[in-house]
Formats: sequence, C-alpha cells, structure tokens
Amino acid sequence: MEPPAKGTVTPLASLFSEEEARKAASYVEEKIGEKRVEMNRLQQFVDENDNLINLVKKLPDQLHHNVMVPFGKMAFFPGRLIHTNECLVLLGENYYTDRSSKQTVDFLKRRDKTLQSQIHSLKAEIEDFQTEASFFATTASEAAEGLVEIREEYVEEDSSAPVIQSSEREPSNISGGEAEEELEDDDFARIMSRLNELEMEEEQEGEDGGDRGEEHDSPIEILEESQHDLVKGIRGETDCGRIEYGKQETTISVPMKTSGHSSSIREPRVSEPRVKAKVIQVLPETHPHKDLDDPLNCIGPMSQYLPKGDQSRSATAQQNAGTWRDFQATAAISTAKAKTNVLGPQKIEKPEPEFDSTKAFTGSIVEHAHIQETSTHSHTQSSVSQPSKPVSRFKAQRR
Amino acid sequence: MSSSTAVRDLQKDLENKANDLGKIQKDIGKNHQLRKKYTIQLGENELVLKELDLLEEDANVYKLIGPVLVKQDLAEANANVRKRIEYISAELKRLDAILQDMEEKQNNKRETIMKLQQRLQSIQAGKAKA
Repeated sequence: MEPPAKGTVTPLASLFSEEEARKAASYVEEKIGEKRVEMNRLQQFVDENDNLINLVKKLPDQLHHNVMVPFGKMAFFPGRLIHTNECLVLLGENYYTDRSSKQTVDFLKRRDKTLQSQIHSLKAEIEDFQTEASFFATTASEAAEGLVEIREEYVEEDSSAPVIQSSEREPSNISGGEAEEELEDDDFARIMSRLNELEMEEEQEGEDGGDRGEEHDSPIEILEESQHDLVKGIRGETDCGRIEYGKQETTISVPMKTSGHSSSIREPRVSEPRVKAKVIQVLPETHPHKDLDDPLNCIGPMSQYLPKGDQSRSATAQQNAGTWRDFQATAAISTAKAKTNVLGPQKIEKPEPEFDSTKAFTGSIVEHAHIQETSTHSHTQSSVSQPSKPVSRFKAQRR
Repeated sequence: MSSSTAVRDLQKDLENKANDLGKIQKDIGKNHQLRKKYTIQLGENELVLKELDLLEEDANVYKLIGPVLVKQDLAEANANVRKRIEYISAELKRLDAILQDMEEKQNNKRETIMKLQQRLQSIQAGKAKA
C-alpha cells in the first residue's frame, strides 16, 4: 500500500546522539545553578537592605543608643550612638554623602527597587535556561527511546483516485455480502461478539484504537474474502491492541515507533495485507494532528479506525470534505445515529485506508525547535490519546 | 615516505593552529570578564549619578580616597561621575569591537583547523587504502 519512496524515516538518534543531548542538558543545568547562586546573593542583599531600612527607621527614635562598638576584629567596647539622625551614605564608587535618616531610608528603598528588578531579570533568565534544559533532556530521552522522524510528501492527486476506488469497492463488498449472506451472518455474529470483547477491553484500557484499523484494512485488500479475514483480523487485533496499548502507555513516542517498525511487531499475528494496512494506519494517526488545520489532509487517515476517532472529534471540519467521508463519519463515528448495520459501514471504510496511506502527508513528528518541542509532545500525546475515542464510536455504532 | 612527512607537517600545523585557537579563546574569556566588570561599574555609576541628581544643592558629598574622605563639591562630583560613565561606555564599546574581532578570528581558526583535519583524515584514509 505504501510505496517505499513515499517518505523517509530517520531515527532521531542519528540526528542528535543521546550523549550529546545529555551533555547539553547538563551544561545548561550548570548554568542554571550559577544563576541560582547569583540570585541567592541578590536575595541576601535584599534581606540585608530590608534590615538596614528597619534599623535606620528606628535610629532617630532616640537621641542616643547604647551600643557595642567593634574595635578591630576581635574587640568590642561599649559606646553610644549619637547624632541618630545623620547617616553617611555610600552612594557607590566611593562617593559618600551626608543624609538624614529619612533620606537614607528613601535611598535604601530606591536601592531595593533596583535589586528587585535585577532579581526579576535573573528569574526570567533562569526560566529560559530551564526550558532549554528540559528541551535538551526530552531530546535526549527521545533519542534514547528510538523516536523516529517520518517525512512524507503529501500528494494531493492521490486522494481523488482512492476515493473512487473505495466507492467502487463498497458496492462490491455489499453485493458479495448478500451472496454469502449465511456466511456473513455467521461472521457477523462472531465479529459482533469479538467487537464486544474488544470494547470491553478498550473500556478497560482506554486506548487501543490501532487494532481496529487492522480489521477494516484487511477487508480492503481481500475484498470478498474479507469476512474470514475480518474474523482473523479481529482476533489478531485484540492481541495487537493490547500490545499497542502497552507501548503507547510507556512512551509518547511509541506510536511513531510502531509506525516505523510496525511490520515487525504485527506481522506474526496478521496476514500480510493487514500488516501493511496497519503501518499505514499508524502513520496517519500520528500525522493528522499536525495537519489538523486543513481537514482535507486529515480526512484520508480518518477513514481508518483510529483516524475515525479524529473524524468524530473534528467531525465538523472534515464533513465538508466529501459526501463519502460524510457517510463514513456518520456511519462509523461516535454519533450513534448513523447506520446501524455495523459491517456495511466498516467495510466501506476499509477501502479508504488505502488511499489514506498513499495520501499521507508529510508529518515530521519531531520538531527540533525549542518551542515546538513542547508542541510536538502534545501532538504525540494527542495521538496516543486518540485511540481511546474509537471505543466510544464503536459503542455508538452497535447501538 | 613523502606522504608521511606531509602528514607530519599537517599535524604540526594543526597543533599550532589549535594552540592559537586556544589562546584566542582564552583572550575572549578574559575580555568577557573585563566586560562584565565594566558593565557592573557602569551600573553602579549610573546609580550614583541618579542619587547625586536627587541630592539637594547644599548636600555634603565626600569621596573616599584611600583612607580619607575628601569633601567634594556636588557639581564637581556630578561631573566626575558623568565623565566616569562616559569613559566606561567608551571602554565597553572598545571591548565589544575587540571581542567581535577576536570571535571572527576564532571562527576563521576553527575553519582552518577543520579543513586541516579533513585533509589529514583523507590522507590517512588514502594511506590505509594503499
């Protein structure tokens, strides 16, 4: 399904070695430490200044104060502070001036202000460094996890052709279903029971959308035989579902991983066509979020199960895209109103994944820019969280 | 034989260049510190100037010279501080120019060193093949 030339998969680790990223992170951490020390020093100044202000405020309250006068380093002797309203204030740069207590307090307050502004700027700097450090740290961890960057050209022409294909197949599927009604019924029952199980699982686990895509994909490839495959697929799905789920949980980046290496993971369980489909599925999964802005892009992927979740989410935008999609959306999406016959819509949907896969747009999962870093995370996370949605859809369908 | 001498020459060259680069980097570091010092002084002087401006005309202003406080005219002190600020600003500018110059040099050196390294590697690779 997916022409190999379509995109490139670059392991993030090849772009930045984990070590380098860690080094950078530690370097930045060091800098943060330095700044912290500086800030502590300033904070100390501020505290001292506050104390001094209090003292100078109190001094003129009495005509004289009895104090211990330091004499050299070691010795003190009793003395008395007179002229309590006169201070010799160091302005800086060895300039001194005579001031009254009140004036001194004013001066000290001005100094306090400058100190505060310095602390403020230091805080901002530290924050800056912290984001930098966290960026490096995440880059390092991502590189360590084997996160890959997937770039794929988005070819618009592909979308139209596949759509036609899918629509053509649709009828065929249905007709086939009629011919083999008995078979289908059997299959239906099995599938439905399987689906129920799946649903339960999903409810428990919350995320497992990827599997379903498989199920539907298989039919696409093997049109008529799809039912058998479907059943198989479903079984395979459950397994995959669990596995996938686990992966997703462990790391955000996992989805991408799966997309990259999914074949290896899934192959054993599922027949080949499905494997491919899965791979494709996963890709759209991750990408659509990036390109969510333009619904058209996303539509392709959405046809698949997971993607459907997208659709349901952003259904309004995507519905514009085309009647076919609309149909899909209504049928498969969580909006339960849609068609009740589960198989029909699902089958129909299956064809789409193909074109989706081909259609898939460029999505670089990993962005290296600072700010984007965080955003990517959110993207990936969202992709992870997606799978949970399909469940609801499914339920809706059945009802 | 000739290639090995060439390699040796290149290595020597590389060493020299690396030393130069190290020196420049040290200079840059020193310059940075100096700059920092001047910046702090500038800040302090500006604070003083602000305070002096706030003083009333008949205020007593002293300057600590060595162990003694010398009484100064307010106007005089003000002028002195202004001059000092001017001087420091000029100095900062000068340092900036020097710093830029040195950074340029540093980059050039780095490039030449990279080139040297590449040449060395290619020669060594050629030798290994042969």
